Amino acid sequence: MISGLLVFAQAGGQEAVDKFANATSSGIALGAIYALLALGLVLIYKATQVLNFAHGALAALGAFFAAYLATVINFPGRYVTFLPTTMQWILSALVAVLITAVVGLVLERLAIRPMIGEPLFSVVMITIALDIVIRTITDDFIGSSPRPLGDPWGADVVNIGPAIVAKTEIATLLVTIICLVGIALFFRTRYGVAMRATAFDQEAAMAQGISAGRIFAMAWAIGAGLAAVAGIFSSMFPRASIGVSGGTAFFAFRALPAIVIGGLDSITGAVVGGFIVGLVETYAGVYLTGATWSFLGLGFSGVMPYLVMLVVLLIRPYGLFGTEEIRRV
Amino acid sequence: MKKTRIFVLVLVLTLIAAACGGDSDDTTTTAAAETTTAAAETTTTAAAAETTTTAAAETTTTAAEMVELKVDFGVDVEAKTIKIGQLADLTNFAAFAALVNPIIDGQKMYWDYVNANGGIGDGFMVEMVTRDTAYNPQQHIAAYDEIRDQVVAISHGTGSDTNLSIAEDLAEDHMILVPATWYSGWTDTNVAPGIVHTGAPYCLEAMSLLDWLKDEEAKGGNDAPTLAVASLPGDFGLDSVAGALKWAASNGIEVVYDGKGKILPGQDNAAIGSAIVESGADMVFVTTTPPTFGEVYGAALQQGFEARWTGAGPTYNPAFIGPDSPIAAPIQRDWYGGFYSKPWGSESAGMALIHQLYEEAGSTEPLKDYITLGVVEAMIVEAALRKAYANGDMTREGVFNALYSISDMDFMGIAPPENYTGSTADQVQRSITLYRPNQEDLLAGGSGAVIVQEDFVGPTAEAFEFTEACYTIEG
Amino acid sequence: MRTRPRLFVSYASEMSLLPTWTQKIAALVFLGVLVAIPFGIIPGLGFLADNDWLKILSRVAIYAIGALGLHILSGLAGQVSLGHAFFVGIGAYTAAVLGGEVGKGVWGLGLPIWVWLPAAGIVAAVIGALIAPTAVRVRGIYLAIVTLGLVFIGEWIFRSVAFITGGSQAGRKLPRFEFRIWKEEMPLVDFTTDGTWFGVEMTSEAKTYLLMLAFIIVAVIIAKNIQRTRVGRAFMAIRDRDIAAEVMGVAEARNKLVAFALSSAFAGVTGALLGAFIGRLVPETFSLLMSIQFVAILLIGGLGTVTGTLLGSAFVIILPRLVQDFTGLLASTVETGTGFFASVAGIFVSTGIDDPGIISTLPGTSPGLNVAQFNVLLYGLLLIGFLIFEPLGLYGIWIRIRNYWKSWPFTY
Repeated sequence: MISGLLVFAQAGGQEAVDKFANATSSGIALGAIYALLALGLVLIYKATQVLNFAHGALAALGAFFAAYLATVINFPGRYVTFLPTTMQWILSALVAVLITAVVGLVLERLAIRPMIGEPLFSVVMITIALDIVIRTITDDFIGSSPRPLGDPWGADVVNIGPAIVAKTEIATLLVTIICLVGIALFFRTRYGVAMRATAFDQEAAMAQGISAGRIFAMAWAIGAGLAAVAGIFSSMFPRASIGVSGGTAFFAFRALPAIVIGGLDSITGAVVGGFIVGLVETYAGVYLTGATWSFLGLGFSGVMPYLVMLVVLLIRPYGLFGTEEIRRV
Repeated sequence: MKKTRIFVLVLVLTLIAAACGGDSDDTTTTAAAETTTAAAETTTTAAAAETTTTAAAETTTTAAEMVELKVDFGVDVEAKTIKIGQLADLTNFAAFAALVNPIIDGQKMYWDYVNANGGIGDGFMVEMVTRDTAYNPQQHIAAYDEIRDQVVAISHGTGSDTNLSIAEDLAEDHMILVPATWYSGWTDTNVAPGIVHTGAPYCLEAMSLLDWLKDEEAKGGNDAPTLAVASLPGDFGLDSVAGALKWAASNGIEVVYDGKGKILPGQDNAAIGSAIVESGADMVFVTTTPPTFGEVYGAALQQGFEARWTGAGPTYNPAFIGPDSPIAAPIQRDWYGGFYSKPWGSESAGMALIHQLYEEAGSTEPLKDYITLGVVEAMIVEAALRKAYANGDMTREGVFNALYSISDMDFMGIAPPENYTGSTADQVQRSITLYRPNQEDLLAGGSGAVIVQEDFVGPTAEAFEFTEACYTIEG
Repeated sequence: MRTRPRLFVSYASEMSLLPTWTQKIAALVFLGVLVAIPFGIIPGLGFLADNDWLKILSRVAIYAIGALGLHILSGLAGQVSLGHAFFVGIGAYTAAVLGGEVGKGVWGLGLPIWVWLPAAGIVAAVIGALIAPTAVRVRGIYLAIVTLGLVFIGEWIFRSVAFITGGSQAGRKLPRFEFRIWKEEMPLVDFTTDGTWFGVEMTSEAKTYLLMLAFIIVAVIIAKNIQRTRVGRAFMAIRDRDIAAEVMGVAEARNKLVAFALSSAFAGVTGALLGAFIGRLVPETFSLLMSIQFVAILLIGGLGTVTGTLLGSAFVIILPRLVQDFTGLLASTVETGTGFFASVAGIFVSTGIDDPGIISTLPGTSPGLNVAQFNVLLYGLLLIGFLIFEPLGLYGIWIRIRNYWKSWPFTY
């Protein structure tokens, strides 16, 4: 599709090609962040049938931890000064992800575990309430000014063909691929199989000796960790040039169409959906502007993903890669 | 079952405690109301005595001085307290909570200082009644309804649409409110009486800033610079951009990109940055929140765009030039800023006082200029209260009339003097302070703003005939 | 025969609105109390006659109407919806166009309340029915996200049609509570100014409160009637087992469409009332936050009951105020008070940079949340606690109390 559009763009000369290439690279980078958010959401949904509305708050919390560790207390960088600064920063980010994963564990134990067996609606509401609580605390942690992450890439850019790409965008894409492969491999391990079994049928899995509680905890820990990764990479140049702020927590809502387009229970779907949403949003923002498109009103690019979602759902009610629910009497 | 019982117990206790809180509030209000009527009665009897008995005039006057202070809401002559309200966004960090918290801190510091130095009049202590509005009109209205009969004036109200939603009630109550926005309508005497203006309105600020930018461009040899504008919707963005567009029209400057009202928090704003790059403008005028400015500026910077950037005061945040900020170097090159009150680094008696208060409180607040704003807001109400006391009328109406009789409001040098009398054109404030961002200054403990010129009024801003709001909010 | 809860001796009694005498009397007494509130004659509830509290109670009634709509859709028909705010917005702007005044750049026809209020419900219902066929195709969490999408798309529409809504972050005025026959100068009944009714001094707040009370009573009767008659039972059959219901001849798609339309009608009326009550609305009002508030009302009250929905509305609207008063008490105790309570409160409150605590009196300086943030935090924690420990909501507590007394003094 992209190559076809490129041919179309070439008709407009070099400027149009540059514009298209920049929009595409920016869309892919945005899509990568959505894919990261979607991965965590889908993982939690797959294992526990819960849609986590606190995901954005966890992402902001993780990003704050990373900013705090890397820029304020320089942990663990100050103990490993022999490492290059890039490695020091990556270590800080990893520690932040781990801390957020532990937060995920605690949340699951305190608020989600007691709700097993309660109606779907109540559990969704719990995650919304968790969102309020975590967001309030994170806002207070962040304080009155946004916190830059102190990442080693800063505002550096490289030229890839006609596109000018920020180094942070390349890093985001790489991390997304690592996370995707990691999750895919995880599902092949003992615990991964146990998680899939639990997702498929809780009671049958428990009869096989799988501890559903432990699986739930694991899913929330990994999900929260992925949220932190997404939060960290969504708080960088050029998307959020000044770091993690009060708005970071709301970013995750923009990834919701991605998981529906892909199918709520499909890891592949999450990633594909993420990239579709990222590209659609960016193209809409770049091309549907000016007097010709003024009838589309204010902020059309923001609702474009939802429109795509509605169209997909009209054709496939369970998303592109989702499994259809079998209805029995 | 056991945990349920404990929880229910805790909940019940909480609710009882909360109910008690409500009750105690209730009693204070009634007490205040009672004293009010009592005071009113004494006033009338004293007045009656004065008219009937002409003898012993001396004693009557002293007696009159003792009791003649007229009060209705929020002023307690027995306890010697004055209550003033704040309707502040303290929790919505996606909106303005980050800026409003330091404003409220600044007010608290200043009122503590006023109280420590004898208070208002003969020892009235000022008490703050702060309510959170989360930048939500519904909560704003509910908060106003809650405190309207407890306070004599409101020293802070976040937002414009929020304040407009209580504008009729404010007028009815003769309540003054100091808004933390510089919407040009507040200066317009026909819009929302009681909502007090302070500092140059967005639209005149825009003209002065662009006058400065054009001057800089001319120094660089570019006599016909082009302009790109983009902003948030609402009064903040649209009033500001209205000024920029009026400026472009009167200076014959070509506007190569018009993104007024197109920036929205919660959408991908990078496309606006790309559009600005595509327009190839020499000057960019953007009025938005700092995080969304980061998105627009970041996208433009990514594509190697260089221009002179400016925008309304709250668009900029010192965090842009913080030690770890990825855009610190380019922002120091590109940003030309203006502000309504004087920056942290300026020299005046008022600024010395603020520095002292800041240090005494042990504050670590990085947004120092917003502490100053809090003090400016408090000073306006303080002046109105002092004048009202001198007039012997500390009713809400008395404070209202006192404020609108002040023609030379002095801020001890931390903000340009204001005039609250006469026509719209008489009242308008035009001067702003120009600054350039500087990381070294920030790291040395300053606010990161190096003053270029204080009390600056651009030629276009000077010549502009300001008779009504530049941009009208419907209704 | 003495009547008891859940004991029915005839079909007619099972179908009646208030089956037992106790319920009839209780309902009548409760109604009497509600009507008497603005006159401040009830001992212990006198503070509710304050204008400030009357406004809160009016808001409870307005939200309860919308919540009853969601109750029909989610509680009875079992369709999870996060899109309620969109329909509230539709109602509000229908009222704005029909009842509002023409202003700079906005439309308004200035029609009387008896036109704009029903129209708000009807327009919202029609739009609900138009959207239903799409929503009927998806289920469960998918439906939740689709309806969530509706809120975002709705916000975009409201933002874009500035000639109706006044535009983003600017907003417009809405019609007031005034009853006119047509466009005459003096309204027949005016709820917006203080005045005398039948020789009794009434503030505008008291008048508005009584009007809202009348509306909520009508809404409750309609909702109850929907619930106990054919259509409501069809909804419940779909909720409990949709395929089984279809086999029994309950048309699923058609009934879901009716549920959407009815629910939207309630939401639309709420929007119109809320607009007139507040007087001025910005498009950002109808956000996800408002939808969540309605869902919270339903869950806290107890899903699937009218009583629960009403209790939930009162709880969700009044709770933030109670929390705020509680925190205010805590902070003022520390600052001025002495004794045991003050020292306990001192643990939580931080007054300076060296004083640790959760609540900070000078946020930029001392550690801890500001008072308002603490309120939001407490609100979230109470929600979680409630859902964990009382999944059936306030209605569940009521049922437990009733069951306890049913067999009193025996504990089984």
